[in-house]
Amino acid sequence: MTLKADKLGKFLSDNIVTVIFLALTLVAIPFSRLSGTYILSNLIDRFARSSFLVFALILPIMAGMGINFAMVLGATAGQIGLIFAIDNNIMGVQGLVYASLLGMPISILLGWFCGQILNRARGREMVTGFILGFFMDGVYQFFGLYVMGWLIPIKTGQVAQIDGGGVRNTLGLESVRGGLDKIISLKIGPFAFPIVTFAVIALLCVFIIWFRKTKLGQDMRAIGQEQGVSHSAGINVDRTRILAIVISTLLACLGQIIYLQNMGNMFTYTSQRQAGYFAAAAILVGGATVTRATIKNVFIGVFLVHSLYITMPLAGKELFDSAMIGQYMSDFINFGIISLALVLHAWRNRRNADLARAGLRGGAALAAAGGDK
Amino acid sequence: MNRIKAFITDFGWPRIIIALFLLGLFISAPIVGVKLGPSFTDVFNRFGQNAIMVLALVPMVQAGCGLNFGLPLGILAGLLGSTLAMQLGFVGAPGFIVAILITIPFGLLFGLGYGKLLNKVKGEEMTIAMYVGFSAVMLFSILWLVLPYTKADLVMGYAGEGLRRSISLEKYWAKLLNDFLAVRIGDFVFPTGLMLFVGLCVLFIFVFMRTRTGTALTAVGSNPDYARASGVSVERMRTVSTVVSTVLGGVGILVYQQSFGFVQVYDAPLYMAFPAVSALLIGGASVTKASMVNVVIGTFLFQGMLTMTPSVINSVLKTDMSEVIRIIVSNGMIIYALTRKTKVTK
Amino acid sequence: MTKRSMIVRGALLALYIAVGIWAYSTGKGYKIFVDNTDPAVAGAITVAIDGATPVKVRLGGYTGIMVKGTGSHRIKIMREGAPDFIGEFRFPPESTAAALAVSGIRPGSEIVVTPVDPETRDR
Repeated sequence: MTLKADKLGKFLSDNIVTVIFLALTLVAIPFSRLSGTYILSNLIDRFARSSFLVFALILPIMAGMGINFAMVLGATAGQIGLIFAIDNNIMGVQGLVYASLLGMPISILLGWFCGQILNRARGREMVTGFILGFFMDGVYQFFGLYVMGWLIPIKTGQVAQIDGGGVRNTLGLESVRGGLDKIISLKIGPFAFPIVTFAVIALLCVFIIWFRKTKLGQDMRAIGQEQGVSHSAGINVDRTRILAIVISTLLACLGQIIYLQNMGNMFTYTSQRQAGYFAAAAILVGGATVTRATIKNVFIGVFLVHSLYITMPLAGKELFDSAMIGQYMSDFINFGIISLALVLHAWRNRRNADLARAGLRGGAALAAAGGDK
Repeated sequence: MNRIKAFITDFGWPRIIIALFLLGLFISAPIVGVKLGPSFTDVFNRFGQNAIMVLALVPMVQAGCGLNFGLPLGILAGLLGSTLAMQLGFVGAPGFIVAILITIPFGLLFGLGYGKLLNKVKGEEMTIAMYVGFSAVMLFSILWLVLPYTKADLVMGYAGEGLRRSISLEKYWAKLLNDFLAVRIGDFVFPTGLMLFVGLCVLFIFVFMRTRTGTALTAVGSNPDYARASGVSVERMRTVSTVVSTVLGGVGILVYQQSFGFVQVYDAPLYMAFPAVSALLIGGASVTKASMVNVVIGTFLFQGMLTMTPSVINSVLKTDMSEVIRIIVSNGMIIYALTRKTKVTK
Repeated sequence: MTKRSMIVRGALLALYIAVGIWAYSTGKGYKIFVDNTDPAVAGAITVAIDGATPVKVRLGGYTGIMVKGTGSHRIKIMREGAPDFIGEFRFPPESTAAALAVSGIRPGSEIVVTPVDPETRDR
């Protein structure tokens, strides 16, 4: 085998998840019969919509806590902020600022709570975070359906449910729709660029790059490598892990507000869960693993996942004569790609561990281990 | 006094609170005008309806694979079993038996693949199991649409192809076990057949866990290094536990369907692992240890709570808060179990 | 806690409250009912306030439109077969809803806006 082919092979095996996803997208695009212009202008819009949300996952990965499925807690906080912004009739970008100001303290509180829980569930942070998201759904429903309208009066008819009990299931966000995107919208040909939203995302990138270099960022990376050593080196492991989750939750709160102002309506009790599923799929498709994630992974992932979301339902309709199949196919690929990424990562980890152990035992043991397989 | 304290620590506060809550519901039910007879009937029906899926989790917990969030794989085998038996035109008791007979090989197949996969990913089983379950449910959603089912009461009316969202078992084997030898005392009906079937399954697992394979399986879960040293193949035992769990999950959904009266396909099985897991944990199991007693107590407490809260709370508060209580209690219980420091940790 | 971090925290809190007040006061939405009950003119009109999506108001009817903040707003009234009218109006402070009668608009003079009770007009 030549060196070049070897390199290509290594690249493929290192980025297999991204490559598979890219291949699926490339197959789906022609079958969807959508024009390049349509796909591209949609991608620009969706990129502004959801990349902020995906950034929320970077810090916990850095701190060795895996995919923070509990980011839905932050998304929930953002939605609570938006409910109050709509109910108080605060419009445009001010409404979004108002929602963020309300959502941020809630998300910090929830993030702190979540960090405490995850510190007690070392080694199974991901599954605990996932269940924590479900748990929060219950608390949030209690708040939205029973506390709102009972302890906290609802002022506006369009927020209250028809029969008067709590916040309605679908909330129109017309008054804050495009609050961020439409401040400056640059039109180039058929494409509209929401400049302010892009600026916010760029600012977040700068923040992440800067944060990696701070003392706290360095500590997080150290903990991600090896908790025991970090502890002996004098790093407060528990506190640093909690901070990683708090910042993640806070970013998820802001990200969800940005996401929803672009969408223009909100499924009060399910939108947050979609945010979690989407963000996890996006960052893994972008080539991140459970232990390593970069800004590049976020961007690649958001582009690829959305390309598939745009084209798959139509491609399904074209190929199987059923839009339902396309929808199920999207969901399957979404869940499947997360499974694949997690499996590959765990499998590689285990193989490396096995190799290291075999290396310790010496060559004879290595041969034996090979035969055992 | 110390013995009471030890009992409380052993049993765990959450369980005691839930048990007291359920007791409170039963006591207050007649006061707020809810009839106890039908309530108890419901509790027993739902206990039997869910118990086998809870039981299905036990082998994997014992083998150290953690909580089987991948239970939907077994459920899918069960869905294949019942829909194929219906398609082939079997009704009544033979239909139910054929459904089980079809379910078992599919369960073996899925369980084998799933077990092999989990062996490759030790340490991350629960997250991966959950997502593998989700993926499988979505994959089968596509299959339900494209598989060539033809029977009129199975497929969607207007298109003539693709399974219906929920298929009635009325003309097949609805309530088959529930009504078998049912004993009626006033307005309370004891579902004898259902209880017998559940008892049989519990007995089967009870005996299985005491066979050589069963003890080896428990050894693998409690001390893998020791098990390996004494010549037990860890991988094989883990695969065995996964297969048993998956097959039993398939049988569990069949029992669930006959009591519920409908076969639900598409994304219905997506979250079905979670109530089963909660029930097992409420019963006193931990992530690494579970017994038959945990299954019975847990299913009874959890299903009892689910049955009683809507009727009692609704008649008191005039709102249906049971859904919120269910979500908080069941997921709270899972978090409690995941965060508890177990005595035997790696 | 050092004196410096106290000052920083105090400043942050002040900023938080200030931004909140700004968002609440300038972003608050108010409802303006545009009445089209001009007996002299036949036909529907189309109204756009502050450059928002134009809304149709049928003859003899009215439409409620949300505007952001009290203070002055630009209104553009479009009518078939007549030149567009562009003018400004001030939303009456201290009220949550107001009505604007298109028939009351006279070129050159200020547009009359009267406070109303939103409950009685809201459908």
